[in-house]
Amino acid sequence: MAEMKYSNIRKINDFKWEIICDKSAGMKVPGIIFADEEILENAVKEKTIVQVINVANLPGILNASYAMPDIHFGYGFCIGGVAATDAEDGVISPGGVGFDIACGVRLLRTNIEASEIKPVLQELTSSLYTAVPKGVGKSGRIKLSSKEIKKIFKEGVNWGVKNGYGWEEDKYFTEEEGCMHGGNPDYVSRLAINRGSDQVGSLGSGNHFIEIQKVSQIYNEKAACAMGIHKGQVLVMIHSGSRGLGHQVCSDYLKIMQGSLYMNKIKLPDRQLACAPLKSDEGRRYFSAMVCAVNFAMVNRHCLAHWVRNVFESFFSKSAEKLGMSTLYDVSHNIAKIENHLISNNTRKDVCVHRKGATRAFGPGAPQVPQIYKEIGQPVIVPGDMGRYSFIMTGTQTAMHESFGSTCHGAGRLMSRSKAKKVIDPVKLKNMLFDSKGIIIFAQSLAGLAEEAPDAYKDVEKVVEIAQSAKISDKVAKLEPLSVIKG
Amino acid sequence: MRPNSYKIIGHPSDTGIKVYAKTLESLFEICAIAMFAIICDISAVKQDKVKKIIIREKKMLFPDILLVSWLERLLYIHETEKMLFSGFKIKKLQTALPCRDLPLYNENTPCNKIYPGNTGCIDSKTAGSIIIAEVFGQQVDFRLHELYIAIKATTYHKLKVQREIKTGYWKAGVIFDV
Repeated sequence: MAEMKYSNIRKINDFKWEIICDKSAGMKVPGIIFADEEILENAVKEKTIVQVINVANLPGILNASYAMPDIHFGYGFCIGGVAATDAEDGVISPGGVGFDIACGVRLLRTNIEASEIKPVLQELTSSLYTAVPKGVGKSGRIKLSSKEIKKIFKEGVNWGVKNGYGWEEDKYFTEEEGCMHGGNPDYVSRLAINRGSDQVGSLGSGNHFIEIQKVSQIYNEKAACAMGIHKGQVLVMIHSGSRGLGHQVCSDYLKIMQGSLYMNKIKLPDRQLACAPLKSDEGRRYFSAMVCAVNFAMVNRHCLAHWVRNVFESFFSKSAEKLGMSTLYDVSHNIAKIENHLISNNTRKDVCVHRKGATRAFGPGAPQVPQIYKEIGQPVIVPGDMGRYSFIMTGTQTAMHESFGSTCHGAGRLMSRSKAKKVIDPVKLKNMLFDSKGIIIFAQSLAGLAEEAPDAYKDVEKVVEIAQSAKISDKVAKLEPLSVIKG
Repeated sequence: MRPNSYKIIGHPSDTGIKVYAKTLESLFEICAIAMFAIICDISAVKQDKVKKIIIREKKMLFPDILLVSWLERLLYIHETEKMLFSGFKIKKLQTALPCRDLPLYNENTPCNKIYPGNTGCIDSKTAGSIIIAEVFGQQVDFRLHELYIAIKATTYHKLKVQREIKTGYWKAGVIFDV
């Protein structure tokens, strides 16, 4: 650590570091990074900790500016960034949520064993690839009027169920029971609605995927039992978000807030952190529009799950119910929410928790956790990369008072997209993953495949180990990909 | 960099462009070319369709914020109308030029003059900023065009539009969320 540029970093323990609050850098609170020495050094080298410091400048920020173990360089907030602002006199920042509002993961169970699925995997994945709208510039299978889109904004997953997509019980295993309240469609622009009109139930591109996975290891039998999973079982993971609609909502309000910064007397070191007081007109409008985009994203994953179930049903000639394809959990990792938390001076307060590339990780007993998970804590889904593994974890009590109930959301990039495209041959990669691990990959774009190569990502196991050691989430199971569909 | 050229740059999680141009209009045009070069092979995009774009902003915006509006509008048309573009012609550009290179731009940042664009006169119909442009391209044809990646949005992170004092040429830096 001798070469570390920042002398104001203090070790709290092997997995937790404090950036001491430097008022001259505009910091209102310290920074807290959950990392080991290697990840911390990397964060210093890449100047990601500057982004943690910048976030500590936000008016009304409480306790600390946090970074989860998958910390990496973003814009404005770092990826893996968590900040809670006072709901009374703090700000809300669209950049603290990100462009892909409520990007997240849904995990479906099946009662199929990996050994049963392997002989038909190629054909099954091919059918899924055909059925699921994906890829850059591609429309979904559903084209909706602005009136219907506005219903999604208000009803969330209930809209899907009413219209024949998915199951009623899915919503109980979706964050916010599938419908976040407080949305106002009037605050979502016509441009955003137009962008979303043909994108419900579409995967998108970039790092979005559908994977057929097997449970390869169980770490916590009690939690695995509560989740209804066992070693060798096949699961389906869906990673997608609010598509163009969410991107437009973020862009619209970033622009508005660029203009209102001066009026609200807010000075920031990075314009991507543009924000407005939660109680101001701009702040309230953004929150309402963001809630609409959150509901849109949850419906998007809900409809994607519907296509997945349809394909399994016709492929195995059994109903999805008989195939046990229930939702294990659906959780977003780009979101801002009003939550009640314990703050530094031992009092509870309503705060606006921004999670930018971070997952809510509420511990056992939290009222927001579905009844069947009450004893074990909220399921946390941590996707890795297409060649290695993903994880299921649970939220902890420690997370509730150490990180505003938050943990990591994935592996974190190691290599820029442009570098990955230069150094990775996508055809060789596809063949190598099949020859060495039997992983079948269907991808819309070869360039996109190179960008998403395992070597472009950190080892998610290391990230998860740090989250476990820092006690901000607990490992339950390791999942290995059997086949992958990339947008 | 040579004048009127662009570079695509790697960013740890996203991607960006650096553009160098002789005029502010060319800077906006080349930024658009660079953005579509991230999305697809622009040499394969025929220019059979022309589309007129008019962006009117109520406030007089600085060129960097206006550049974001321009690129976002192109992204919007690309996504909703499934269009690809490879040619861009700015017909009119009206923006504010700051007194000095201030770290924080906002509506009250003092500006010393209005940049009237290539028409050389200020649009009297509006007190705000204007872009009038023609863009040339074609409908996406998935048999001919491989779309490499979707650009979600243009960010304000490290966003820069600056004029070189020595040459009077313009420089821009933009990071995209992909």
